[in-house]
Amino acid sequence: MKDRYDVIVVGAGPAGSTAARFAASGGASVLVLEKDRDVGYPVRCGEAVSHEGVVQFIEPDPRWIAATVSRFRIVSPNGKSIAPRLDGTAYVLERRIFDYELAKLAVREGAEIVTKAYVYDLLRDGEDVVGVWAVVKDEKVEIRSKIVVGADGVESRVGKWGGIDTTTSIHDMESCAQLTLSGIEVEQGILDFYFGEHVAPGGYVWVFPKGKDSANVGIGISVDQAKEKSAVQYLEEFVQKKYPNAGILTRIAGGVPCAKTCDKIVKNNIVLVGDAAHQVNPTSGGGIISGMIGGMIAGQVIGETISKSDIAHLKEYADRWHKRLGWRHEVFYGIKEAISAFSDETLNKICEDGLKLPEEKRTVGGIFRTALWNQPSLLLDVAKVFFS
Amino acid sequence: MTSSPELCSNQREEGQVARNTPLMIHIVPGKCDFCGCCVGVCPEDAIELMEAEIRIIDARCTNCRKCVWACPWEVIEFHREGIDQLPKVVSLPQERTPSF
Repeated sequence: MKDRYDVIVVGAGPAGSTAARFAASGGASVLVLEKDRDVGYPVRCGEAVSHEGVVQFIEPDPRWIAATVSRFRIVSPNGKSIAPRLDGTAYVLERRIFDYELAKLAVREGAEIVTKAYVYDLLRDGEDVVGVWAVVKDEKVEIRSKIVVGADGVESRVGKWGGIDTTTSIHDMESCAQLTLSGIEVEQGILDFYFGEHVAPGGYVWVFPKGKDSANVGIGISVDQAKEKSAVQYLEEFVQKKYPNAGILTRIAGGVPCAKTCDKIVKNNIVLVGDAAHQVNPTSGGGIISGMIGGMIAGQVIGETISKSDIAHLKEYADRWHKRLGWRHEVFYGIKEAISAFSDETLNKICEDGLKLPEEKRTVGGIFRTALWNQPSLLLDVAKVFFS
Repeated sequence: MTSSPELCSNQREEGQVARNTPLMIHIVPGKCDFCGCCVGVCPEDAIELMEAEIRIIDARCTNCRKCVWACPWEVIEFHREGIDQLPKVVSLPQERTPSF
């Protein structure tokens, strides 16, 4: 490790490693600092991604694919379910290997990675940010850089130190808990989502197969619905009912910022990517691919910025992100708000109406159109969200 | 410190808490998964999270309880009486991650 780089990336998750990879391939000298001892561990993720999302960055490899799925199923509060067709396939990942491979891609482009390196503040020269303060091998060190990338996840503090408010409102934060269960019967090839105010208020329970008799069984609930009862209580009730005799292989917690992208993702020479920038699909809570897209765009712009020696060029990242995905996340945010306002009766009705559709018309759009047709009042609920 | 009437009895319940009260947020030792959900909702940047250590920064905490609600594992609690005698820092004594 040197004492000076063009770019320091804080955090070696998918977004950080991807930012490092593209910044390095664009000619920047890059250091990635990861607070944990291992890249990719502990995992804090349901681990599902689409094939078309992931192939933009890395060739699918059976070593980090725990299961391949081609359908998803929505279980409504009364227990009826509908399985709309999925365009293409999706994977349930083995994140501890996947994240490793992404980090290797960054290293191959010339980035350096140091683990067990905790960044605790920005290094300043007067008002200017000129690097970071970190604890590396139990020693406090200052490392200089022209640009600092905050890829430090939902718990991001890099943005806050740099004057960007990354706090997630309790309405938008999903409080998540997940058990990896084994010795259970799991239908293969399908992702299950359970909805309902008594199952997961303001969120859903997921069951993602991870091999023959295992699955990630997790929950996300909106924090403002968690004042009376926590995520773990809802999850334990679900598991007790559905998988009472399962073996528990992992037990993890996490938070997902199901919000629009932060108002600012660049300020002077500070750049935010991934969960730190709230680059999460607010409807699904999925953030692996969108974080990597954010990381890629940031990395590319950083490469250009370094070769032009023009820090003002960094702003380009925010514009490109917004054009590529940011605007879509704003639409998805509206959809999330609409869905979370649906009562259990409404969800049951949507599911029942959808089931009346012929199999080939059971797409997400088809089900949504039918729901609106049968319950015009839904249109009002949706419209309220979009036009408020 | 005496409990003021506007504070509610339920630890998770919402209620008004004045700034400048003693710290009432307590992290239960041994339960924290160091996931960072609490840090993400903290409006005051009052929680510090390291690999296997979490601490509430007393001087910044306003006892707003967002971290209490956010915590998926019920690791963070709210105590009306203040927590001078309770730990504010929780850490794991050893390395927590397996090598592979």
